[in-house]
Amino acid sequence: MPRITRISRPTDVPPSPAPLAYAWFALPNRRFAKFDAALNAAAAMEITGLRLSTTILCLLLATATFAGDAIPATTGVPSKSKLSERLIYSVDRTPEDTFETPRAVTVIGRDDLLRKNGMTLSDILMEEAGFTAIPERNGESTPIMRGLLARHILVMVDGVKINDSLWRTNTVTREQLNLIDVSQIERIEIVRGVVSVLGTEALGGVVNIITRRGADGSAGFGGTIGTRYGSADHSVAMPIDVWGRNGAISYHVGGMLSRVGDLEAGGNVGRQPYTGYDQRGAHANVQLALSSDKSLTVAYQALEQRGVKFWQSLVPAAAVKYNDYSIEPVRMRMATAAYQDLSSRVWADALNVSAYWNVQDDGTSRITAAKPTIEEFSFNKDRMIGVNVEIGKFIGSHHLLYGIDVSAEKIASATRTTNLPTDTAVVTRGRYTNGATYQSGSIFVNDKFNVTRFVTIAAGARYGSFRTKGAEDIPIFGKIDLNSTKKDTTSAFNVTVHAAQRLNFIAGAFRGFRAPNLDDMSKYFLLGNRATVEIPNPSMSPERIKSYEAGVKYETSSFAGSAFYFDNRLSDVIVRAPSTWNGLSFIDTSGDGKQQKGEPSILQNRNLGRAIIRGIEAEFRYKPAPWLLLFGNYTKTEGSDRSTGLPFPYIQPRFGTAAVRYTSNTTHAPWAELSLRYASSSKSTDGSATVIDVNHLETSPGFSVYTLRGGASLGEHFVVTAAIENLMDTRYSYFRYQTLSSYTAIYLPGRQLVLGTTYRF
Amino acid sequence: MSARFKQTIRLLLAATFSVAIGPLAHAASFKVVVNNGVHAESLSKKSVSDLLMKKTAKWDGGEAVVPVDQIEASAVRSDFSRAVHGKPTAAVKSYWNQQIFSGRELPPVEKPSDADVIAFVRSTPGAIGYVSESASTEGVRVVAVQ
Repeated sequence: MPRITRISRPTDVPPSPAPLAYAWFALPNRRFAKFDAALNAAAAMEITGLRLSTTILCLLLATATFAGDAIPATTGVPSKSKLSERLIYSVDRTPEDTFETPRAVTVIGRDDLLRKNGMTLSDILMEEAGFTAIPERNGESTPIMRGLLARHILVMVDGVKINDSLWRTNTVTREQLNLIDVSQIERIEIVRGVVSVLGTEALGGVVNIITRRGADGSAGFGGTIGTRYGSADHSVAMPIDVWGRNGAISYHVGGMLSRVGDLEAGGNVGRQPYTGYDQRGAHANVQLALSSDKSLTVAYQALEQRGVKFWQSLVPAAAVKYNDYSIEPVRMRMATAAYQDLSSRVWADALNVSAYWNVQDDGTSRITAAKPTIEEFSFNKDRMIGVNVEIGKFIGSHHLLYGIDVSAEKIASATRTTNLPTDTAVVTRGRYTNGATYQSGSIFVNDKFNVTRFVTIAAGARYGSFRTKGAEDIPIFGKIDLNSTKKDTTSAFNVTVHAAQRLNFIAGAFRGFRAPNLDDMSKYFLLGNRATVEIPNPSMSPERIKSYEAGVKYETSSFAGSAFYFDNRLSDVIVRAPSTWNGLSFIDTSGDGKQQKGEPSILQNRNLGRAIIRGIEAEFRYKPAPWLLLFGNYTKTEGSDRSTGLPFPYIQPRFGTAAVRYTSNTTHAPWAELSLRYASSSKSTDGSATVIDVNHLETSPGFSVYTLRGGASLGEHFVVTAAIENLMDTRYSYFRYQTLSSYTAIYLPGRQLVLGTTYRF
Repeated sequence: MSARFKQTIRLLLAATFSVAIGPLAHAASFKVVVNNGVHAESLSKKSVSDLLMKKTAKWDGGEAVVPVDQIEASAVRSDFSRAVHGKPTAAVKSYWNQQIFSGRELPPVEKPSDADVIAFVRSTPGAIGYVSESASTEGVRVVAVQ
């Protein structure tokens, strides 16, 4: 791939200014020098912070290495891991049996994670029921569930939300499932549909990443060194993990480095330029057992991608020619401290308190072909702290869960325009209102009880308050005040009828909302060819949803399956639409009241969307013999805008997976699997301009992709996996529109060999 | 307030009360059994609870405790949970789910019948379990619960 070298930059480290102020116009040199020094100091602190994180992890690793007795690890997946695959936390914040929970759920266990051997989180999730993704770039994808995407999906790590107040639809980085290091995952919980007690972002569903924790059983010390190679992008990844137990302390420490080249797609697409990137991640989890009932867990994780290019704007077909268009930084750092007390009290049988700190950075660096000496660097940072308190109590046959969630966020956003030959820069407003804050506070209660031995009811409600603060004075527009408070209640009511011991019929009704975040309210930037400008709108209402679902779950010793039908009614959906300012639909810089060339039209986020989304999701696993497993899933979603009848943006195609797996309990435990992933063509509006727009009705073609996977243990400590993905070298993607030259998805890998090795010590 | 309304309220309260305390009305009908190698004649309820909940890891003699539970659906487990743990089976199950989920501890093995529990306790040094009052306890030691 042709690497683009920036004309002038003293270091390869991406600049990460933490803007303390901004100015709309060029600052005088003397004044700017002081500001630039502040930016550089902030950038240096960022770099120091990363180094500090690495140093701490190395120290933890060293401590872990010498902390425990070196007992050889056992082979195979730990039994605790297997047992936990039957549990799901993300429905009502209490671990419960997946069969007994009244929701459409999927749990991907450690075994399946290792078999899939995905490079990214979306690689792992894309074969699951109800889940699709828009692969905007190599190594990242925007999640879609039940026709709703990104900001409508609640993504959590160990029950702590990572959606911050800058999560978007699908345009830049945070919401693209690229901030999670897959090597740290123990299992993944997916809940489809509105989840009332977890968080208001969960309109489409929840993805909860459960991270790996200390050693299983009595192992004092162990670890793995892994490698993964993928031929389509010549990607190489190397995860290292160490775990153990020493007295009351158990720990799990690890890291991952990967280098990914340009991705070669199937058919006649060939290698897609500007799609390579590098990635590094680290994680640590230390658990202290205070007693048999009480524990304290401290965890840290960090992930950063480097060298990510906005490939859509660098390809020859792009409308505006760029010499460079980098997405940097792409970074998340997160720390949590969790206290658990399972001793019985009058008011609680279980108490869980989690405090968290989460910082996410993203930015873009652009150099146009027309102005090759000017670099425009836009940077956004969200710092979030929060506390979750969950209390569980059994009263008679009632299992009551109640608690509070509070969080506070502050964002920094600025744009620095640098004249590269002179190395002088101007700092202006960024994408968002710099210094704006976002606070949320919620209380929730959930009750689950048996009415009779045949009927169980689960009902919950969550009241949330969301407060934004911020103000600025934008030339032309004047003062903008972001101060606002949105309040509302989400609720859920589920009935489970236990028709037989392993047959449940389920019905549910839900009411949910999602409060507008700072991305919705404070965006200000010129789009594409600068013919349109998006301006802030602080006065929006929450998006609302009413949802109904009915399902069945059936389970025997050899079969497990579920099928759900859902019907979602959305109103006040936030969409970017033409708007006005001071009575005009454009920025009237000339003051003549008529739109002249160079005066951009105005777009604004507004509560205009109304939609119906319906669908079915079904999945099964059938084991007719101990060595044979058949499994698959099917999803069909239909959705339309209630005003126009046009397809709602990003309604998923009909899609599914069918697979057969052979496993053996012989010495080397060989296994082999053949799977088919299928998707129909889909017609949708692309949502990049305005949602209700017949001019953006596009067709994404369907596909069938076959994959052959296998693996075996070689000796006591060594495990290999191998896969030939996309056997027929099919050209495929989700939401890859044929007529648009930009803002479309990347083609997914063509036929490729994926090799993985794991050495366990 | 009409008399009919008051009567309805009374009926609803009575129904709620009966649902709430219904499970408590069962008399305890179980025997605690241990492996013959365990030298215990009687144990307090709290001790038995701690042994079954893995809060006590070793017997006084230093031998590891190996608890065994009945399956969730069994009637004797319901009685035992109420009488010894002081909470319903669902609460005990929830406790273990939290332990598993936190990556900390596994619940005791579960056996589907009294006979299976007895067989396990008989053949496993340090084992403790419980069975129905009417179950045969040949080959194991019955411990009084105070």
